[in-house]
Amino acid sequence: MSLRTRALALTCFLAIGFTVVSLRLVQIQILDGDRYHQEAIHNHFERVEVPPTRGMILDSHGTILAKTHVLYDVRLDGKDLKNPEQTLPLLSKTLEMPLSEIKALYRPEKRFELLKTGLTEETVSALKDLKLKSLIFERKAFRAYPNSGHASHVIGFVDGQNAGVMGIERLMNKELRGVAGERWIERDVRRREIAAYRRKDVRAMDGMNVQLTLDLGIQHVVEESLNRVMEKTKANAAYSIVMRPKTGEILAMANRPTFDPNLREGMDLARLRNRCMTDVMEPGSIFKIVTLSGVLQEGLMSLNTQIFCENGSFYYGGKWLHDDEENGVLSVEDILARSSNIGFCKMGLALGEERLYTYAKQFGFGSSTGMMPGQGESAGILNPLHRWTKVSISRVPMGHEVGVTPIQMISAYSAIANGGRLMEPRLIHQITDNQGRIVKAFPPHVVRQVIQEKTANLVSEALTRVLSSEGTGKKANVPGFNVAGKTGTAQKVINGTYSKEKYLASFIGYLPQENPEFVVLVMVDEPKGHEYHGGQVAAPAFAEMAAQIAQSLNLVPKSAPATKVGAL
Amino acid sequence: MSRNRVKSSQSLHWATVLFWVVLVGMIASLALSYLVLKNRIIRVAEESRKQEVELMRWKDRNAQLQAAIQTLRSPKELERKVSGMGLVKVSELQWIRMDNAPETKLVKGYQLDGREP
Repeated sequence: MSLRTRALALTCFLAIGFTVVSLRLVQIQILDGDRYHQEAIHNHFERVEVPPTRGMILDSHGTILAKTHVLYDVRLDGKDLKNPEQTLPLLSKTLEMPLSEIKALYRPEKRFELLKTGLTEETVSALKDLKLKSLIFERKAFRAYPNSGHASHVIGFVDGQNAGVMGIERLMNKELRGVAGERWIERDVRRREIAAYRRKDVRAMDGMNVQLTLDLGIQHVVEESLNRVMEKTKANAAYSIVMRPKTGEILAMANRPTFDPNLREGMDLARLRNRCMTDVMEPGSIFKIVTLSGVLQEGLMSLNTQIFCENGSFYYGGKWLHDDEENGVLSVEDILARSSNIGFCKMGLALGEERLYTYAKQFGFGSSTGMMPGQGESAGILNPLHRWTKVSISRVPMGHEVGVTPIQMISAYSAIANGGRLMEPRLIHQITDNQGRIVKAFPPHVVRQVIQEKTANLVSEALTRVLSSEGTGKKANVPGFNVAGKTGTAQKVINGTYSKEKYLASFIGYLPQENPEFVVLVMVDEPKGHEYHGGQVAAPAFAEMAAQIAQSLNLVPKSAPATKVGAL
Repeated sequence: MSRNRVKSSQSLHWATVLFWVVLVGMIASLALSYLVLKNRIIRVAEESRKQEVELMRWKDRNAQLQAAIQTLRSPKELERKVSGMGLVKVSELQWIRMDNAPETKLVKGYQLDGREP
């Protein structure tokens, strides 16, 4: 082959070669350019969501009631693990797991085997120091409730996705959850982020903190007292609420049975119910303040008005009504102190159906308080007048034929303690950002003036007589304080008839009577044993709680009885 | 030196040569500076990423400790510790109270608030 031919062949070969390469380049760059561009973006760029930290729930003093922190899960890539004979014992030591357990979990073909959950930052650092490429760490937000079961029904809890399921966690989920940020990052061939090429970096906005009106110290007092009540009475359930009458702030709210939001696995769902708001019960004698307020407000009677209590048996509307004692003529004040049903029946008759219904409605019965919307709060039962029977006017004044929730009941007593002003019960004090700046405040709100201040003072004065030596609530006395309150012993309705064995024992009271600082409600559902009256079961629990709450609120005892003498 | 240059007919234009040398030098130094700066940016960005990770780790650690401290400070836990130490709550203690306690006088003739009786 001549030189010229060889040169021509080489030129042709190079020309064809360059043409092929050029065509391939055209195909890659122009024809399939978009696809390759997308693939390159897909391989190198990634959108990473930056999760926000859920806000805290705090008590009125800023003590943490719920907080989110990060824990890790660690997984093992069996295929990547080199020298398992040497590595597995190291893992066992660091993870504080038996070697046999780790060996059982290890399989060379399994690439994502969960070794342990809930690891702290320290353990993860120790694992990272082992420099094992086969370990995969998963960062997970964990919601902790440091005070275990305290106020669990109020605080609630979150699900696996960190969304509130019940309580404040659910009610304030929007404020607590925060807003996720995002980051567009570029990775190198080893999947490491090239930080300099970060495209978009939107920071996550952490959730806000919700400060409640609850006082953890008072909550603890209430929780411990309810534990003792449950232990002593073997009751089905017990509820207690502490409220500040001047502002409507809920200082404590507790239910039994209860739950620990940190340990929810296999828990009985019935325990989750916030009975203080959902359960409707016939209140019995504690409802009598409505009737008393009505007759005093309308000027129909005074505290000294004498009423004949029919010596303990009264026939009205074709039915007999009985008192526990055979009372003759009693003053209105004594009727309240001795909780005479017949006396209150006569007061109700004097007041009339329409006015009694109006006062009950004004005190907030028959409508929900709206304290925690969407949490199953009941409005209770207050039948409209057209559904009242002939005997209703003799039964409603003493707390029968009506259904109330504990929160409605304490709100009504708070109205008496607050000069007749019904306050909206409040659980949330304010919302703050993570710098402590107030984002939203929830000021006290007066719902309405139910009765005049003068009338409220008269009712309050009469309520102090309940705790006198002749009254039903003498066990509720707190040394050093003038206490006002009322006992209640309601027979439970079982299959349409009043049970003679199942009772709801209750006591609601406040102190100091002259300038009430807090109202306490104690209700015990079906106490067992021979003591089932409100004065025997709930009143002592009230006294125990109130004494400690007064101490916690730094209330100074005014007139301590000299008989209460001891030594430190 | 070529014959033309000797004759000065095709002499070297030093100004042009200098211009090109300076230009190429500038471009080279710019390119070098670009590389140096780019490397520095990458290094600083990497450093800042590491600090970011470290900060997040500290934040996580703080949050864990905060929760742990609150658990230890919870009334239930404190009560358990107090009872373990054999102490009794103040409310369970007895106290002395006097009815109609006489008014305390600090200085002869003067009451606590400084007023004359």
